[in-house]
Amino acid sequence: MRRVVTSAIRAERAFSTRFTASLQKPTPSTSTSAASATPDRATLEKGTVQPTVLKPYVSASLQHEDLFNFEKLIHVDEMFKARLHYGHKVGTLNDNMKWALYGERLGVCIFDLDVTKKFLVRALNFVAHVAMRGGMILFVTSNRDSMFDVEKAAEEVGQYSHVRKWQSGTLTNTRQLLGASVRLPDAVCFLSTLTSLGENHPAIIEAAKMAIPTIGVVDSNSDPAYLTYLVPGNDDTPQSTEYLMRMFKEAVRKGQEERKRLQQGK
Amino acid sequence: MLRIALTRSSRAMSVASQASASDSETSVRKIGKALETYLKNSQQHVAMMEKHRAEFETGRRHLAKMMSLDIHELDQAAIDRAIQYLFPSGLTDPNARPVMRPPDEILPKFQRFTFDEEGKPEGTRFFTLNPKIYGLLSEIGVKTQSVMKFYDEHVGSRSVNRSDLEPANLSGSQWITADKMKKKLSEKFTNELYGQVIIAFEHLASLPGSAIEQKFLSEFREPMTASTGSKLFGPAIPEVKVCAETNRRYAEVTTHCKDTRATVKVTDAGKGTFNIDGLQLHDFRHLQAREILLAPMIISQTLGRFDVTATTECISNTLPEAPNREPFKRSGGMSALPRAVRHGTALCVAALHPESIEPLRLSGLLTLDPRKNERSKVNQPGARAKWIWKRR
Amino acid sequence: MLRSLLNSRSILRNFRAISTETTVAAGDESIIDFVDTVTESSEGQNQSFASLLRNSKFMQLGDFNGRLVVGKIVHRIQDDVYIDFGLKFNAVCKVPAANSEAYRSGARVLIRLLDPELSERFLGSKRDLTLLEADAVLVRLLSNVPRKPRQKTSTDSAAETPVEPTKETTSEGTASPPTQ
Repeated sequence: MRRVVTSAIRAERAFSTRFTASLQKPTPSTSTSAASATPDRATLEKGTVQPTVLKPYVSASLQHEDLFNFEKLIHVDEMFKARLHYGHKVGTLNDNMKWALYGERLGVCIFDLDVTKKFLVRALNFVAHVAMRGGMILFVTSNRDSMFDVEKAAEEVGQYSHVRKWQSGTLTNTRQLLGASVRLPDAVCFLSTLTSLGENHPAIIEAAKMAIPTIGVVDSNSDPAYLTYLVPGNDDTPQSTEYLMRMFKEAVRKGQEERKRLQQGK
Repeated sequence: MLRIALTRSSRAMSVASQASASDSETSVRKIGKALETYLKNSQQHVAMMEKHRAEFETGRRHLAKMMSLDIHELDQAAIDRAIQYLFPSGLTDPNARPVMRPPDEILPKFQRFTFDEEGKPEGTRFFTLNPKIYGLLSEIGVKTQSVMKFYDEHVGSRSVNRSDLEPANLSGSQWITADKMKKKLSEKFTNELYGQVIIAFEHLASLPGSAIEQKFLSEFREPMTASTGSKLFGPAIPEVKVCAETNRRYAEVTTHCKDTRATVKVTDAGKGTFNIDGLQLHDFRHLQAREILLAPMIISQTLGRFDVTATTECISNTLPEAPNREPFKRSGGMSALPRAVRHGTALCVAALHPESIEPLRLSGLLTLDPRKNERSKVNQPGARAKWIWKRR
Repeated sequence: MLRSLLNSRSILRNFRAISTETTVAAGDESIIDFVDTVTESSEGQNQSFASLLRNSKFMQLGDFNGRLVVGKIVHRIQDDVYIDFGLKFNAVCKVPAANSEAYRSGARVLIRLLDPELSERFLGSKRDLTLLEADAVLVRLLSNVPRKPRQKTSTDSAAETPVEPTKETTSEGTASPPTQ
């Protein structure tokens, strides 16, 4: 919960804190009183340490747990069929990934798909929110089996993909590398967080440095540090990547449709 | 932080509320900071270029006046000549000499990106930094997969042509060079990436069934004839001409060795005679000179077949730098002069007798000897020699 | 180096597998077909994860070592075939010399599973190093690449899936003795 709110606040700050009054959904009673006001200095300072205190000032659409109704879209049996529950061998387990496991079966880690579902809904909700606000999402993977599918899927929804060798400074040093400063992606989505050598993808740190929220599909041997939204699950099998990519695509589509609807309604 | 915090879109979303409706109208023009910076830099660059172009045009008019030429006659070649005349420079590096060229040619280019109105860069692979070449790599990868699938589905069946299941026929051509690929994709990339692309291409072309992608592959091939024939150092093999009077084939070439320039003419169907500034082979008393002169015929095994006529001159006599120096009486000695003639003879023999090109090249007779007498240094008796140094 | 180590190990196992081949040849009931389970549509949409996992072929498989499973070739690079048998990783096997042309992607094969993931811990490291592939031995070809994909697959699944459950009820350990 805390993670969601933190990022929601961060995202909200990134886009606009001035339009807190723009409520599309019925607001919870707690936020209506404070919604019109901007937080005072003391609250803001406190918010840097404990972001939850800023929650009443965030717009209602961001306070909604599942605005786009992804709960209905995601089925455990589909994820099961997509082999999302298979983890690596126990010997490769990262201690920070134990929370997402259902258990181990003869030395093979098994993810709890109920947990995965909860986290996937959060991640999709975030993706849809970013797409709704016209944000750019960069899909990153270093898996050679699924790289073409990821590229294709990203192209289909008009987003960005990076499936090749990551040049250091792509996010932190664009001015030097491109000759001009450019708009950076508003969210980075990792379909696999490990490179083929088993190291963390360098883009994770770069995105964290630039305060870009990240979504990461983390397998049992991945390191979840520095990732904002986690999706515990299998990141090696092409079927599971294909399923996740389909879901992310759907989330982006939903966000874009909502955006179109709002623009026309204006 | 370079991120664009606010886009027009977030405003568009917020107009649902009445309070912010007026706010969004007033600041609808506001765009992201990064985009703003980019636009500012772009405008600055355009203004700078405009200024330099105007300056160049005025400079050209002044130059035309100085050289008393009509402004319309003063093209780039005339400008270069005028600059060379007005600012004579002894600097050896051409890049160090003064130039006057249109600013578009010499000033650094401003990299332009295409953005939409929200500041999003164009192209799904923008953040790979090399979108075009990575796009090509992905295209090759996808085609590789489809070729493999096509082959697996159709091998052994009669539904497709037998020729479609073969590897693509790429004989007589080669992959385009890195420079050409850069031009074709209009993008710069490293040699490492070019190597990756070529490996990917080679793999695709080696697959059985890649004949269905023949058209795609041949887009990146070029005929091999363009680059065959190793380049020689020094003058190239001359063309064979036919003498109108005697109806004999001959070839003529000019070359040099040390300070000696030799213009050699070799005529086919002769008697093996030599005529070097009026001297014959037996006039060269030293055996070394005779051996040198005969070397091309010995290598190509054509002794007695070609007549050699050569004239030689001293290069330093023809240079404008030494007007007051006593001219040398003759060129070359018993080594340099025959070597200059030998190089010319070898080139002509290679032209008249193409079968002997390879042995001549391997024995090094077609290669120019670029060594020159080293200049003597100031305060020294020679090029390297020093005066004896004594303490007192 | 890891590769060579593991290779040598798999070769050893290969020998063992071959030695037991004759005993297994008769008992085809030990085959577990993962690919079919994965592709078949499940009836219960709101089954919980626990029951899904409990009833999955993965659990019924029991100990992996020495199981015969059905797999599908997804990829072939020269003499290596990548076989998807329904777990996390593909198995990489060498194509036998006889009838090697038939082992193309799309063909169904029988493999003897040794290890679902090749991983080894090296001296001084805290965690295992994984090769991201399964260890298995190719036993034989089950069916060729379907010529007309539509009709063939439908008949395949119709013929095989109903029989599957009865096969699985026979206890694995007794039907085919594990290879060691």
